[in-house]
Amino acid sequence: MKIKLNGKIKGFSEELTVEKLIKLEESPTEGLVVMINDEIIAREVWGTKSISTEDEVELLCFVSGG
Amino acid sequence: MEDKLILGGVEFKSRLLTGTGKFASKSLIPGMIEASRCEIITMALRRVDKDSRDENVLSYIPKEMTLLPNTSGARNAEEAVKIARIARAAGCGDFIKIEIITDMKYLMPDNEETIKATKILADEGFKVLPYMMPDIIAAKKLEVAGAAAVMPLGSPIGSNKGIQTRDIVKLIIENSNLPVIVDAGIGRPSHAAEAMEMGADAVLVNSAIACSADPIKMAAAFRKAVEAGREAYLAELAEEQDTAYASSPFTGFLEA
Repeated sequence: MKIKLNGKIKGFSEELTVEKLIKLEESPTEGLVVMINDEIIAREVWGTKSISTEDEVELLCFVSGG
Repeated sequence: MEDKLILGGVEFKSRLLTGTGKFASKSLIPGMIEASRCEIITMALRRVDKDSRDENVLSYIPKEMTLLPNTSGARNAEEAVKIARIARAAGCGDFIKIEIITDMKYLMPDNEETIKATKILADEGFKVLPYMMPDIIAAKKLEVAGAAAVMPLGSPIGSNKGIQTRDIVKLIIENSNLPVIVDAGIGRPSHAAEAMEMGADAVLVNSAIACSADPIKMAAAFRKAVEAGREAYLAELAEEQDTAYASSPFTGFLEA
């Protein structure tokens, strides 16, 4: 399955949920925002929300800034 | 009666806002917060970068702080609104600093797009703090649009040149019904004191603290400067004079 993750095409050999993707990407979850096709995915459904092929996924977090 | 800063209906004791950018190490941020006694702190939103191993800045900020995410990276109102909604969805609360910049050399904010974004976000219940190019008409439009404060720049971001825009900032202060927070370009504690003496309600300082040789000591210096400037303003400064007025009586006994 191929998706666009943070602007880059990436392939995965298994079915994905948001939660699984976060684990695979080793992303910290504090302050993490997940968007799929421009829609913000609520944290409560990360475990059940599935990701489909060709979905555009953004993993966003807070960084230093003024 | 305690002199409090009120932004969007929320009371704050500190009139020094700080940023989290440009520190040599994020481990300095907790000490900076303690030394500055700031209660509001800014951060930016970006894609997770697996390769940078960069820790989430939120890990360094005490939970009781008011988070002020900025919309840096936004080139127009639509992008700023998108970032703001994402920040709120991430649990950052309702405060948002609108920063809309297309000029990459001087990093000057786009007032027109800022006003548009302010209206949309204020209508959605955000407490909007718009970073703006000093302009009394734009400041009024931001007030009408529902901003919680206006944030005119002192000089370009990171330039440390102080309040180069002081004449217009003074006019904004005199004519604004909103709190005025001088943001950008404040390079020294004396600049912060000057802003407060002019009647600004607060200042936002990032580069001058983060890029100093000792950010924690500098944060404390800024805290004292902001407090001193505010007290001076409340004490009502003596007027400037064009001629001299002796502060000691003339000594008649020395005359022949």
